[in-house]
Amino acid sequence: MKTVRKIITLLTVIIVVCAGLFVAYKFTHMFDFLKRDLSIEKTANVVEEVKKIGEFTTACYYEEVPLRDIRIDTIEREGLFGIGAGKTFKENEIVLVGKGRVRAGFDLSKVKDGDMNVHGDTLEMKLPQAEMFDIIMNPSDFTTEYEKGTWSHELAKPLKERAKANLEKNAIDYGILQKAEESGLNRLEMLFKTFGFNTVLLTVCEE
Amino acid sequence: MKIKKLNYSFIALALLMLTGCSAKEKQIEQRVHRMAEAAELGTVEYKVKKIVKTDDNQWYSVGDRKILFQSTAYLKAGVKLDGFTADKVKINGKDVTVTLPHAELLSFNMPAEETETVFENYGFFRSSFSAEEQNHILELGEKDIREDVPNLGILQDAEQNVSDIFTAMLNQMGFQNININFEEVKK
Repeated sequence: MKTVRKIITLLTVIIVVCAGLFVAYKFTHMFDFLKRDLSIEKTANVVEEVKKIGEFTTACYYEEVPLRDIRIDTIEREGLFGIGAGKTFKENEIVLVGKGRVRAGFDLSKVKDGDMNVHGDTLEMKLPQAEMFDIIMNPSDFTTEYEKGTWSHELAKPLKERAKANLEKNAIDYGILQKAEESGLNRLEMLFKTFGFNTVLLTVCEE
Repeated sequence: MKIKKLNYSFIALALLMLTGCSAKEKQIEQRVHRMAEAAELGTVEYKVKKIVKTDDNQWYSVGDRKILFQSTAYLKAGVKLDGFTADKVKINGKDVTVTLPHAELLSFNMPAEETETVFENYGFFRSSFSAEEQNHILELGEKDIREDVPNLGILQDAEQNVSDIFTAMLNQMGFQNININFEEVKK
């Protein structure tokens, strides 16, 4: 009788432990270390469009910023015969660290035929205003510091988009366009002087 | 007396929690930033589409889970002109020879807003892919495109376009015989 009781106790303990592990594996991120060796299947990289550009990048802005989002999910409980019915609120939180880059400079494809004039050893050139070419935040630029509840790429997307919008705003506030113009004018002057011009007159057109 | 002690403990705990929260919020607001000068002439942009898919079926897992994304990446290539100095230009009357560095990938942009989850499926015994895992899968997709850059033809196109831009520009400057060369690759 004692042996039977011991076996029942042991079986109960095993079942409870297994159930606990199953719940932890399925609904929490406790076993994420087992999921790290993810790999992707080989698929084609399809070139959909090729565009000729003339972007002279002269300034880059770099930023690293922590991002945090909290979402409350409402779960409706039907209960058993109306008993225990109601709403439960589940908090989901994510903390990411995102790195971003903004590239700016002169778009030389906007320079028209008559915008460059040469008189002896003097070169005159009209340039368009400096502009931002890229606001970059790639998947490799994000690290997940904390994740609680249910999150996915689609759910985290608005947070990443907000981060990108902030990155663009911060770059402008930090003076990327002024820096790009100043640095670009210096670089182009140096470049044209290497071709034998003693005087280089560069002007930026007002748009 | 006991209640008073309890009250002090409660206040201390509340203060600790409050300071803990504000420290966390402060950390969230912090950002590191810097600006740098550059001199890069980007001459070609490729728009690349890629299906990124994972079939996660490990030896220790019961059941499998799959996810499939459709992503878009924008690649820009051209030449870096940081090291471009007078000794790279040889002028002889109306003849000019310019030696430029070889083209390289200047910018890689795989925006989150142009990446969509097309399909996701996981078995009863498996959990869904977390945001961290999904980002890691997309990171592998990004790495795959980057590694494929030498085979895409973007660098050859970039060099051809750089050559065209410099030829047109030097023509306008009055040069007649224009030679654009690229630096020899160091072995």
